[in-house]
Amino acid sequence: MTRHSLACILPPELLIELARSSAADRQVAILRSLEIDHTIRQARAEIAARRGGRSQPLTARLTGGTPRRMIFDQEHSTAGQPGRLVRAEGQGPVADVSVNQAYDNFGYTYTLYYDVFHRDSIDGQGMTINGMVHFGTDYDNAFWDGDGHMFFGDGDGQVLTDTTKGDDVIGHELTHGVTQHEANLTYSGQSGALNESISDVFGSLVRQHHRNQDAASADWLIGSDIVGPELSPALRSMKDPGHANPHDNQPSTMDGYLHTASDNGGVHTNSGIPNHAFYVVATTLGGNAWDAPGQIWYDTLTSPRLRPNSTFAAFASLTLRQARMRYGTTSAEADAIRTGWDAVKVPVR
Amino acid sequence: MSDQGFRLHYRRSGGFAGVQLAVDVLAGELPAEQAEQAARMLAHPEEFRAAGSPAAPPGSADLFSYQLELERGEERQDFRWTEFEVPDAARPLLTALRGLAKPAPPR
Repeated sequence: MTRHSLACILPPELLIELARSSAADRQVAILRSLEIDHTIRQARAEIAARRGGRSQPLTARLTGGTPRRMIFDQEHSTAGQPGRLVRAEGQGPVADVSVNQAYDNFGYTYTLYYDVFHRDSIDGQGMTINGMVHFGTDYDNAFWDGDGHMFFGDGDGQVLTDTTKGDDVIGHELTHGVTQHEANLTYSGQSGALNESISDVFGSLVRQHHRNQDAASADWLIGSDIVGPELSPALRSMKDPGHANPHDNQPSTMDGYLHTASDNGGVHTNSGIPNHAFYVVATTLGGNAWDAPGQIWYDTLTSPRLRPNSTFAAFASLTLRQARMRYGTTSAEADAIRTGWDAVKVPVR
Repeated sequence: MSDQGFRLHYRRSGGFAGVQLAVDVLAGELPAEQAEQAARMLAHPEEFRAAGSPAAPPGSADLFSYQLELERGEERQDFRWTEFEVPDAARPLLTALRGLAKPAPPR
């Protein structure tokens, strides 16, 4: 028998069905019920992070294997509350392409985490994945709100286009949720750049896994499906930081580390350094990047030793530790880890 | 008649793309409605400030951060918001400034 995290009389699937068929005012109340268990888990995770520890599962682990996706149409509102529910788990495609793209790309992200890392959704406990499409007007962004929702803009046609189209983009944003439930890396300075890099890494793995691309055949670009002409051909390059588009200022080594007050200490800029380290590790080992390299990065992200204020050097040292633990001290995997961090001039102990 | 000779400094940072946008304009260069809104902000800044220090929600990522400085002679008003803190009344002005802004290096 499947146990649900709500452990209540009404199972989540029935609540979702009720929400789809309800008037807007009742829909809000029903959806709020579904959010309560997530809120509890999130609060425990944040409290645990402040104490330096990891949260424990609130209930027995779900059997998993099936995502719970809910897509809402924000109808160009800029409010943070869910709009109109337009597609729920198990429901077929609808007329709105953006809704379907968000739904499908949520599925590819869930599949990577479940099939490869045996993780049941963002929190590891089957958390509902909420997508809020058509946020704002010509809004050139997508973001994770920290409260279980990914928001999508339609793009302005110049900087970005429809952000629901990018499988790597969606993998990136949902991985912010994973990080929030694991190491909860502080979103500034080096820990913030790690937070961003981990999202680029697993966003890339979502794309490569879905498209069955190995490390050699992948292009290692971020956002190539959603850029407009101003940022063409891509937002970032893990293979060649600083050269994805004319405005790309990412460094590829610590020699170019940017000290700035903007963007929370340059989290989207300095992420180029650990990004490139992962690229070097993956291409040094060859094969599928989600295998050994992805496993080492996932082990590191979920390690209790990864602190919210972790530096690049601390993260790097932990990846070496994890590689040695899983593959052996003298393994090719451990050697590749050293090669990767040496390439970007981050010291590894 | 509002004073439209004051200057606006707009900067947007963050976001998934990580591209910083910036523009400096005179209020008179904006559509009349947006120039009027900027004048109201200069006259009544307390109505448009975020409650407390601007902060992104815990655990959030890739939200935009907006900075708007209004300057008229020695008078300056500085506004900073993250995405969900932007007052509804200020959004049309920010949208107009966003349309004029260009990529800028981080400070």
